[in-house]
Order: sequence, then structure tokens, then C-alpha cells
Amino acid sequence: MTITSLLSAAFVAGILALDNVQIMQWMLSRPIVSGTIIGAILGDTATGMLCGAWIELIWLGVLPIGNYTPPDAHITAVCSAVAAHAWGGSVSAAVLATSCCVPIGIISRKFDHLLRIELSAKMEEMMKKESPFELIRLVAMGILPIFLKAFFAVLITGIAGYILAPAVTKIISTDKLMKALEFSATLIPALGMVQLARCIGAKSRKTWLAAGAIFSIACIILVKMS
Amino acid sequence: MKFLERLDIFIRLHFLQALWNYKGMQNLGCLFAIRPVLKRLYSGDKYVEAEKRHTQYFNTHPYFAPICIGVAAKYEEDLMSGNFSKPEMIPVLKSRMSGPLAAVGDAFFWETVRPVIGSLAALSVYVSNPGSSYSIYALIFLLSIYIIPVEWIRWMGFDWGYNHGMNVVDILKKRDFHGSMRRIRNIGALIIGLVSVFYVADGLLFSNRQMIFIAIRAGFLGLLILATMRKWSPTFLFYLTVIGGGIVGGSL
Repeated sequence: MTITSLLSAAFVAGILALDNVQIMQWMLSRPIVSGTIIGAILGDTATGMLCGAWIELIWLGVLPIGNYTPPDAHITAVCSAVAAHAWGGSVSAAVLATSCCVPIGIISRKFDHLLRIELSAKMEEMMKKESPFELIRLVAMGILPIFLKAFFAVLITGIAGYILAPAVTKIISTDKLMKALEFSATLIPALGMVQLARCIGAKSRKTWLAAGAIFSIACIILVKMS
Repeated sequence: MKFLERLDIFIRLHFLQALWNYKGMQNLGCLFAIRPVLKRLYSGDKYVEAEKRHTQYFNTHPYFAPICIGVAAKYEEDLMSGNFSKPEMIPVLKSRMSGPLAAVGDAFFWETVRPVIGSLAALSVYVSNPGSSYSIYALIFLLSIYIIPVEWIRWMGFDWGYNHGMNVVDILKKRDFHGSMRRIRNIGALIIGLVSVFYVADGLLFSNRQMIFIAIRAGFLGLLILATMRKWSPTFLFYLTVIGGGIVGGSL
């Protein structure tokens, strides 16, 4: 990982972070997308995509409804992609990086909460003045901190990952730990399936669930028979 | 309304939540979007008064907000032409619509379309190989089937609100969002049924067909269903998966 690729990844992560709430909301900040993009910038699309897919599955059912701010899945995915790449890009490195970066998403949520409080205060201050209001300046105020948050989160994670790389790669290359982390990775899709089932109310869609299951069983039997 | 003004509002609608705050929520974003209309209609004190009207509390689903803003723009024009005489009612009407629209938008986009597309994208990584051209094409395809309808609703939503006023509800009924939501959820259930069998029998990306691993995956899926029914946090379940899976995997 060169400093240029890390800076490019941090810049793109900052731009993509705006898609989360502030601008567009095109799903570009969804972990599966942003993780893949950051992985591609670092030259390791597979690891970025894997980290993004895991974060996507973990927080699939955590929704931004009303004034609830969910954990920042975007920051978690991009930081995981950067750390996993720094630690060698293996499946075990990706599991460890994702586990280490989940708290970053939770801290980032606190940051968003504070920013919104600050924006509320600015709004009150603005309302006391006569309009026309300086909205462009305020829009920049709402956008810039989010960009900087993601930019520095990726940059710091990249540098920390690089510094810790020799120790971490040595630890995760031990046979037992590698096996343990790789086995954990095989269980994560189940988490996503359960989250999706909760989101769509699968309890009341048993016929469709059964239809899918029967179709898969039939496919497996047919493959075995042939 | 001229095309360029319409385009200006459409672009501004993408910044609706740039100023999201706890006090007024999307109020400033809404003002930012409707500003071209206000600038065309008013000047001086009347403009100041119109801006104040749109700084009142406003919150709805971001993709459905253009409908409310279209209604508000129409009432502002009617107010100027004398066809409407109660300016204080504009924020009230806007806010009255925002609740039901937020409920439809949250249920349709946040609780249905986004999780289904997100899980399909994530699971496509497992079905193929991460980083393979198939998984990239699948991701681009799934993103485009999300973005195109979203942008269509953003563009058309303003027109629906502007042309039909408060009768816009009838237009939404014709669009049958609830029916579409039910169908997408059924597809989601079908996918879960399909993938869960393949997952238990094969392990997907980390293919392993030994009986012990099949039993572990089936048991783990069952445990997760129980934990989710008890509303355990997904973050906690993730750490439990990594630590528990690690202990089991390391001892095998």
C-alpha cells in the first residue's frame, strides 16, 4: 500500500461518505459498494468486497428511521478494507480487520449525533437573524465534517494498519488462529440471512421460504444424481 | 414552470438532508430545494416571510420529499396569483403529508428494497468469488436497479405534487407501492429459502460438505434465528459469531 493509494482511498471514502445521508443517497455508501471501491483503489478488490459484504450482512436490519442514527456502516467497511489489505488481504486478515473496525462505525455515529446538535444550534442562531439565510455556507458546514471524518478515519486506519502489520500478520499466520478466523468467516452469511428474514417479515411468508428451500433441495438432488 | 427551474429544484433535492438537524430535521434542506420558486415569486419582505414559512419542522422519506415540495411550490404560486389565501397553511399541509409519505417510503425503500438488494449484492459475493468479474457485474446491475427508480421518483414526485396538490395520494395509490412491497418481500423470502439450504449443505464460498460442518452451520442458523427473535443486537451477534466460531473452528 503506497501513500498515494492510501490518500486516494481516503479521498474517495470521504466523497462516498456524503452519499450516506447528506447527498444523493444512491447506495454508493453501502458497505458492499464502498468496500469494493476502496479495495479496487488499493489494488485488492476481493478483500474490500469481502469486508463490505460482511458489514452489509451484519447491519442489514439496522435502519435509519425517524431520528435514529444507525452505526456508520460505510466507515466500518472502508476502514476494514484498508486494514485487511495492510495485513495481507487473506480471509483471516479480513475477519480480524472487520472485528477491529466495527467500533469505528459506532464512534462515527456519536460524531454524527454531535454534528446534528451543532447544526441545530446554528439553525437557531440563523433563525434569529433576518433572511435570506446563508444556506450555501450551512450546506458546506453539513457536508465538510462528514467528508473529513471519513478521510481521516481511513488515513489513520491505514497508517495504524501499516505500523501493526508485521505483528498482526505474524499472529494471524499461526495455524490455529488462521483456522479459527477462517471458520468464523463461514458463519457470517447466516447472520445476514437472519437479518434479512427479520426485515422482510419472513415469519408471514413461510410458503415462499419453503418454495425456495424445496427448489434448492431439488437442485442439490439433481446434481447428485447426475 | 420553466425546465431550467425544474432542473435546478431537482438538483437541489439531492441535498435535502445535507442540513439534517434535530430541531427542524429536513426543514433547511426543503427551503434549499424550494428556493428557486420563492425567488421567482417574491421579493423584499414577502420573500423573507416566505423563507420563514419553509423553516418550520419538516421530515419525511428523502425520496418522497419532492412530492411535498411540489405541493408546497404549487400553493406558493396559487398564493401569488390569488387562488389561495392562507399562507400559514402551507407548512401545515406540507407537514400533514410528510407523515404518511415517510411511512410508505421507510417501509418500501429502507425496510424492503434496500435490505433485499444489499443482501443480494452481498450474497452474490458468496455465490461467485469476491472480486471476480461476475460479482462486479452483479453489483453494478443491482445498484442500477436501485438508482434508476429512485431518481425517477425524485423527478416525477415533484410533478405529482405540483400537478395534483393534495390529491397526490390518489396517484400514489395507483402506483401501488404496498403491492410492490409485498412482492419484493416475497422474493426476499424465496431468496432466503434458496440460499439457506445451499449455505447449510455446501457452505457457499468456503465450500465444505463434511457432515460435521453441515451440522454446525444448521445448528448455528437455528441459534441465530432464536437470538434474533429475542431481539439481540446485530453487532453483539457478530462478535459472538467471530468468537464462538473461532473457538469451535480452532478446536476442530
